[in-house]
Amino acid sequence: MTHERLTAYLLQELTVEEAEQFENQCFAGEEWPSHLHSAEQELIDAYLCNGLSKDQRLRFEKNYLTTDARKARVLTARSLLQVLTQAPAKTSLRETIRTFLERPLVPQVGLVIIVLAIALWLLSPSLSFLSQLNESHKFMYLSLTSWDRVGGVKHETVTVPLDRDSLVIHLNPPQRSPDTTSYRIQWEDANSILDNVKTPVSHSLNIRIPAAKLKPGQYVLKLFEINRDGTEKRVSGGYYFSAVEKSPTR
Amino acid sequence: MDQHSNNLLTYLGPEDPDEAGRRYQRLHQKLTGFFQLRGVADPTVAADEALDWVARIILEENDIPDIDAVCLRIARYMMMGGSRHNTRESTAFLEFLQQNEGATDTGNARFNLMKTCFEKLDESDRELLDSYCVAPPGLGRTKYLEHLAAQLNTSPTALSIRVMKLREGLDNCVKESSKSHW
Repeated sequence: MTHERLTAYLLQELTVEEAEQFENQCFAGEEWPSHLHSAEQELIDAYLCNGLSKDQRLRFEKNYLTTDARKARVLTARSLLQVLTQAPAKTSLRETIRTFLERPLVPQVGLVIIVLAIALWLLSPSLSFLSQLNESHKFMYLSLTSWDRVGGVKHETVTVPLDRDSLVIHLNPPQRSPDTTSYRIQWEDANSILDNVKTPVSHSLNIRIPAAKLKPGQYVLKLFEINRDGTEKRVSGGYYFSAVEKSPTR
Repeated sequence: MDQHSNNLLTYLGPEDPDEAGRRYQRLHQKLTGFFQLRGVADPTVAADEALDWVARIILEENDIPDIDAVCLRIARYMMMGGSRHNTRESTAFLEFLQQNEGATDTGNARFNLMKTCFEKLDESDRELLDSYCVAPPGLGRTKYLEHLAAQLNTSPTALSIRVMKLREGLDNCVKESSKSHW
């Protein structure tokens, strides 16, 4: 009853006899295996985050999404992922105009200016989020390394050009001080700062690097703690990784 | 409790009602798990029905050598034809979710309901879901989740079960909150 076997069962990759055997095994114990439901959820999450192969994806849509309960589970999981990445609700242009026309003129003008300004500020990250939902990602997981170990420690490596739309790097967070309200992640190479990302402490620490920006080289992600009073403090060490060019195939 | 259920309980523990109750619960839990795995809309109701069937068989046969095997056979039989998968309620809820896939004039109701339900959770639970659900897929995920579990002083299995319960709670909250829409 491994994760892989459950995936094969749910995607109907097993023969009828193998599927029956799988069910028999699940039923044979004192209790129904408690990890199966969460493993099924992980399959759903992998589907939503483009973590399945093309063949698995097709099988998921054809063989798994066959009942109301399963389809509903996928849709609510998608909603949760959207909430976690804080996509704002979409409002149609027609609705915006209708609301505008129903309001008195004078405060209406001021309101429109404020709403447009906020919408512009909010929409730019959300638009990139919406395109991110359909992107394929390569994932990397990095731990903090102190500068004096940089030369002696083997770092994570990614091959470029990426065969996905972006590289998402998850950072193992350091011990957090109680005054820290958010982090700034600064991506650098030997010559310059390449990008900056701010993230609240309630969110996981990660940075998304579009494939087009990732060239061969050595990189570091530096972490800064941002405190309640707005001051910043650099976290000692860095998250080091390299991008190496793909060897040409013969 | 009806006569069939009483017969079943008596069969499961003729001398020990507590043991009969425990065996009944274990069978019910396994049947619920089976129906849930098969994507049935209401696995608990299906499990009740399966045990009703078993009770009737016991009445007719008086003895069943392997009650687990009979339960599973009945559960599979109930799944034949596909009529068990969906209920009126499950279809209505799914239609609501699908209608709001690209809803614009009332905003995305599905997203808003989930947001409301999510915000009702304790901060620690919200943080846990955030950390867990954005973990990368594939091999990196296992490493990430092991680390997360270690940070929380728990095992990866216990962590995934805890997250599963939170997510089930959210799904139920969205479903209950959405009922006025369908």
